[in-house]
Amino acid sequence: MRRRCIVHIDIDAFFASVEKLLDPSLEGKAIIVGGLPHERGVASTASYEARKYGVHSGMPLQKAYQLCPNGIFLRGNHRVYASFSRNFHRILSRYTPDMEMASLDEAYLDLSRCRALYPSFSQTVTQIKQTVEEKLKLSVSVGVGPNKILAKLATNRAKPGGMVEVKPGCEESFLKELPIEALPGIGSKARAELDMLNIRKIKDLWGLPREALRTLFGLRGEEIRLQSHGIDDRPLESSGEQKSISRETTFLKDIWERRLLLAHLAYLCDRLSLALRKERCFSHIIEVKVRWSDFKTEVRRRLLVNPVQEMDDIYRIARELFLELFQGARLSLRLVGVKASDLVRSRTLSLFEPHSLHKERLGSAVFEVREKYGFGALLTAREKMLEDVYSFTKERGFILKTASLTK
Amino acid sequence: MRFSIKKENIFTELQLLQGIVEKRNTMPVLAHILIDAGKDRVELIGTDLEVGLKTYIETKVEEPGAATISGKKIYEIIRSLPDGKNVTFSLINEKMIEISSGASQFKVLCKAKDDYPQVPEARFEKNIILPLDKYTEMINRVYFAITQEQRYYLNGALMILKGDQIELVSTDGHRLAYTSSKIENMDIHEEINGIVSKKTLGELRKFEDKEIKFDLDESNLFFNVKNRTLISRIIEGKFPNYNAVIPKDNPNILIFSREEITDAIRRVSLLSTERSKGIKLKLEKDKVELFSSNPELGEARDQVETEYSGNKFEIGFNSQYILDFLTTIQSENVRFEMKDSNSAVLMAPEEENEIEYKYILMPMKL
Repeated sequence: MRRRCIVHIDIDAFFASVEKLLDPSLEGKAIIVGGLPHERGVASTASYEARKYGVHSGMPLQKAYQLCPNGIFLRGNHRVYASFSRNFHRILSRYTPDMEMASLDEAYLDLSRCRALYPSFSQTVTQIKQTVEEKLKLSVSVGVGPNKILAKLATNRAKPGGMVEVKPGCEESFLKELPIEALPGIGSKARAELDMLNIRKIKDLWGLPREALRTLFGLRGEEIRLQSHGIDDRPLESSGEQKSISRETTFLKDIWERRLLLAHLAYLCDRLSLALRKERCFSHIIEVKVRWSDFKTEVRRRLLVNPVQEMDDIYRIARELFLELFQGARLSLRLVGVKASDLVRSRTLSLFEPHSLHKERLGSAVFEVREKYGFGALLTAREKMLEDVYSFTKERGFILKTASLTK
Repeated sequence: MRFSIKKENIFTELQLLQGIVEKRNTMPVLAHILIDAGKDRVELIGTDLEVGLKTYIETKVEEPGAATISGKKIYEIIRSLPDGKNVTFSLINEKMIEISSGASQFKVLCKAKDDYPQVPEARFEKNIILPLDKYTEMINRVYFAITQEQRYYLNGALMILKGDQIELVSTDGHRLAYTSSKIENMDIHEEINGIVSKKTLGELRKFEDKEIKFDLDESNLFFNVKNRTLISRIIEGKFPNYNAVIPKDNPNILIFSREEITDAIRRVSLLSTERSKGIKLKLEKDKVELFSSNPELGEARDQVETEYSGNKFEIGFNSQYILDFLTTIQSENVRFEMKDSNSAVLMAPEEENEIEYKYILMPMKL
C-alpha cells in the first residue's frame, strides 16, 4: 500500500479567537469562553494568553477564575462559531472530497487520491493553511503524516500557528519523546497508573508486552500499542452520516424539584426532535444522562424496535428512563441530557396506531410554524414552566446555560 | 426406580425436550427434566412454566419411581451411546441416578420429584381434532410475523376456533398475517380463542402424524400427537383488533408472478440500507419499477411488467417483510392490493387452496 497523505488542520483557540475577531479590543488578553466566572460549567476554550495561567478547556469555570482572575470570561455564541465552522469546511472541501470534520474547528484531509493534482504536497499544505487563515482571519495549526494519529500529533506539536510534517522514516523519532497522554484514550487515570510503572513517554510503551497493555486498557490495548508505534489504518469518516444527536444542559443551580427537571427534559427532547427532523432521521436508541450534585454521572438507555422522531415519543421514553434514574434520589441534579443514536432514515408505519400519521403531520406543522416564527413560537405547557428560570426569545426559545458550546 | 429402554426410543423424546427446558437458568430446576417410571411406561416431562412437554415411552419397569435430572446432560449422555443398545436407568439413592449401557456407566446427580413444578393435566374431552399437516402449514404462514417484545400479547399468534373454521393471526405492529381454513367434522358452538406462544408453535411444527388433538382449560392450551402432549400457557392480554386493519377495498390491484417479483425484490434489496432494508416501488401503467439506494454503497433499479391501470404512485417497503410473505407461499401468482403510499397493503396468493391467507403490510416512509 502506498503511503497515505493525511493533513490534520485545527483552528487555534477557536472560540476565543473568534471572539477576538469580533471585538478587536480583546486582542492580547486572556479570554475564557464557556461562561461567567460565578457560573457553573466548564471552560470551552481558553486563549493562549489565558493558557499561560494554567487554564485549559474542560476546566471548571470557578477554578479558571481562581487561576486567572483578570481573564475575560465570555458565555460564547454557538451560532457564530457554527457559521465560522461552515466556512472552514467550505474552504477545505475545495481541496479534496476525502475529508472528515472531527469537530467544529478541526478536520482531516486525505490528499492521497489527489496526488495527480498536487505535485508538491508541502506546497499544497502551505497553501491550504494560508487560504484558511486569509479567509477566516483565524490562525490555524497544521500537521501532516501518513495517518490520522501522526497527523494529529504533528498538529499538536505545530501549535500555535505552525506546521509540522512527519516525514517517512521519522515516525519513531517523532513519537519517542512525546508524553503518553498525547495518545487519544490515555486520560489522567491511565496516566497515573502508567506513571507508577515508570511509563511516561511513548517510547516507554514500546517495551511493554501486548498482554500488559491488554490488562491495562482492555480491548483498547491493541489499538494503543499500534498507535504508540505510529500505526493507524482508520479511514477518514465523511461527515455525511451522523451517528448520534444529543442535547444537554447544566443548570444555573442544582435542581431537586421533579417537575422542573421534567420541564428541562421535555425542552431538550423538543430540541432533539427538531434536530432529528432536520436531519431526516429516526432513532433506535434513546439515552438519558444525569449528573448528580457530587459530579457522578449516570446514563440509562433504551433500545427501540420502532425508531422515533416525534417529540412526544422521545419524551415519553426519556421521562421513563429519567424517573428510573431519579427514583429515590437523595442528591439534586446539576445536569440532564438526552441522546438519540442508532439513527436510520426510514421506518415502517404502524398498523394499529393510525394516529402515528396524525402525530407526524402535527410534528411537521409545528416544525413549519417554528421555521417561520421562531422556536419559541410554539411550546408545550410543560416547557413553559421554564419561563420562571430562563430568559426567553421567540426566535430561539429559552436561553439555557449550555454545558458545551459545540452541541 | 429401575428400568431399561432402547437408546433410539428415549433419544427422540429427549431431543424434543431440549427445545422446552429452560436455558436461562432463572430457576435451576427448570433446566431439569422429570423422569417418572410408572407401571409399564416411563413418562418424561420438561417445562419452562410457559410451555411444557409431556411424553411417554412404553417399556417394562422393574421398579417404579421418579427423579429429575439435567436435561442437557441426559441428552448428551444418551446421544453419546451406541445405537441399538439398551440403556438402564436406576436410582441409587435420592441424590444419584445411574445410567448404564454395556460397559459405559454414568452416575449423575439428581433431584427429587417434589422439587419439580406441577404440569397441568389435559383430558381432551372436547374431542377437537385437527389435521396436522394443514395446521402446520397454517402455523408456517403466521410464524414469521410474531415478534418478541414488551407488548407480550404480540409474542404469540391468536388462535380462534368457531363452527367448522380455524383462524390463526399474528402481528408485530407493522404487518399482520391472517390465515383460516375449514376443518371437516368440526362444529364448535361457542367460539374458543387464545394466544399461543411462539415457542409452542415452533415446537408444534416439529410434530409428525396425521392428526393433532386440541383442548384447553382456563389458563392452558393442550395439544396432543400420539404419545406427546404439549402444554402451553395462554398468553394473557388483549390481541389487537385485527379485523379493523385488514383493508377491505383497496382500489389499486397488481398481480405478479411470484417468482419474478421475489427475484426482483431480492436483487434490488442488495443495495438497500442494512438496517431498514427499505426499497421503493413505483407504480406505472403496466409496470412496476423497483428502486433502492444506500449512501454508503450505491443504488439498484429493476422493473417487473404486469397488467396495471390503477393510480400512479410510489410506495416504500421493508423488503424483508415482503420476502417473508413471498417465500412462505407456493402459489404461482400473488396479488397486491394498495390504496396509497401511506396506507396498509393487502397481499395474498392469487390462487387460494383450502387455506385462506392474507398478509397486511404497512408501507415505509423513505
